[in-house]
Amino acid sequence: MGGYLSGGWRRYYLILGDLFSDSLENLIKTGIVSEFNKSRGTIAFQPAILEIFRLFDKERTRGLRSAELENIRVQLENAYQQHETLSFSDDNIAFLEQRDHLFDLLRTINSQIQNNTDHLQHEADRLSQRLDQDTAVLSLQASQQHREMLVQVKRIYDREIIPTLEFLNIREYSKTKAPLAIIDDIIRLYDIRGYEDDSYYIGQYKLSILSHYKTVEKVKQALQRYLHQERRHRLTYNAIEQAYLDLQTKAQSTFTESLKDKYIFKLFAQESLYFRGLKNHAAGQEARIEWHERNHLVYFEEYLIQQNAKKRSESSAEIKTFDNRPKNDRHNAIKRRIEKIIKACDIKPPVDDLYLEMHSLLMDELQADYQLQYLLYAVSCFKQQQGSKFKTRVSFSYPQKTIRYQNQVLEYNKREFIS
Amino acid sequence: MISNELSQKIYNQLINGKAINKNSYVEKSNELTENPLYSEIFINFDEYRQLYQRINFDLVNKNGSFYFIRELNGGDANDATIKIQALLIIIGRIVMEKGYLFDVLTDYRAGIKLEDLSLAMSEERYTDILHTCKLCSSRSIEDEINSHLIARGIMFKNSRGHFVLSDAGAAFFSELIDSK
Repeated sequence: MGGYLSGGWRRYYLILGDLFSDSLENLIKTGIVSEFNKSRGTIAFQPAILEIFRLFDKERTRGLRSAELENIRVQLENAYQQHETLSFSDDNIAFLEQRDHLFDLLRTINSQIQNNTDHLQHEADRLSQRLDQDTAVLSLQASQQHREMLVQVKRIYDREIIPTLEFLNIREYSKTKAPLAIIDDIIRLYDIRGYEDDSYYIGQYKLSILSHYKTVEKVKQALQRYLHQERRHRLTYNAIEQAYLDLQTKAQSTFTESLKDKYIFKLFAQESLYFRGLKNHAAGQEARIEWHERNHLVYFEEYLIQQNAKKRSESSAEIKTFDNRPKNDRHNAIKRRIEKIIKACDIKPPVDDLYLEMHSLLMDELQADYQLQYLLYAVSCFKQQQGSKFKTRVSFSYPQKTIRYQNQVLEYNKREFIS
Repeated sequence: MISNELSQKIYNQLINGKAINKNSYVEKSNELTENPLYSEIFINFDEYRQLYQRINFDLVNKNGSFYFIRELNGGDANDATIKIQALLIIIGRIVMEKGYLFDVLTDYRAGIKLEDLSLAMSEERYTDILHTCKLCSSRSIEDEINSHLIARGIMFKNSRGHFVLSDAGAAFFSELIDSK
């Protein structure tokens, strides 16, 4: 039976078929193409040819699995049994045929193991590269792909790597004889019967097959890390699944239990609760509050009004009086001096400009301590003291009168001091 | 030496049934940082334990990952604890059943979207369990997660708005796996 091709492969070989349409007949004749159906658009190659194609495309090569390795082992065992019954002689045609068959078999096995090793190395590299890219799995999709890759690693490990290592391990004890141990038996047969050259060549084949053990072992080591990841994932899955099933069983039992034990909360053992005794919220876990929508603008304006009112009431409460000031206030000291100066001064009416007169007086008396702001206080004091005896007359002018002193300016309406 | 400032913060969290995790998530910089409250308890554990014992609480450290308080001589299993456990198991199951890696739930940069959880949890098999546990009967799944997991420091929302297990949440699953 030939191997049918499907999908992209089929299209590819049909194109080849078109290119070499003249040769297609030859291919059919030589048996390379075992079947060609023009109406269905299918072409079937001999399995050996497909194997050749696979060699050019590592993605499509498949490793040897247990069944195929067992088949090889059985063939070797048969070959050994055949040789055991034969008389070793160059005249014995049956022996010569069996010998040729044995060497063909060894060549095939060597080639298959070589391809298998290449395939495993390729797969290990491919999966490692892919998995190492995903050091941080940040999306569900990436995580799903990562997990699928881990499953692939596990599959290759279980189905291809372990069977291959068992196949190549001569020390492994099992009920059936190891394939390489069978080759050793065949070598011994050839040695005993005096065919040392043949036994030497069979030994070389054995060494060549055995040499793949280290490479496959390295592939196994390289995948160990991912196998741990996969195992961790599997254990997590199992644990969560178990916990979920327990929870589901408890939930389902509440539908059938008597009313007394109806609630699922009674079914949990204290010890099974990880957060056992975790304190309830202080506010109560089940509290439900009617939370109506509110117009925040209105509330904000109301708040501002309240704040303004508060500010106003606070500012009136903070009115400061002279007495509230500490006794050692410098301004108060100067004001007390001014009061004394005014009391002692000898200003008599008529005075044309009381402000100017007072200004001259204070400059002389206070000297460095004098500032223009004290002039108003001095005039006020003077009016208080002399007001009962004399009069002041205000005269308005535009622009107003000004007094400049130490970068300060006082603008005022002139007051005449009259009797 | 107990810090007054930190001890007040610790008290506020523990008395409200919140776990104090080893690491806390900073949304602004999207990173995990060491939780000063956890370190404070860790350094002064004996003093804090004594302090809480005097007000009838046992200060518990779980898996070296978080602290919480439980009432000394407490009664039956409280409903809130079962609700937390049920929610965590269902969230874990959803992630695993859909073929995602569990790491998605524990990596602070990843997490699971509310939509993914809501969609899965709306399946009858899950709603039956949730309703039995008095969950999602009058509130949405988001409200339940916020109330039972986020508010208690068992999960947090990362800067992408995805739900991620905190140290306390992850420790629950670690023990679940180790016990099997």
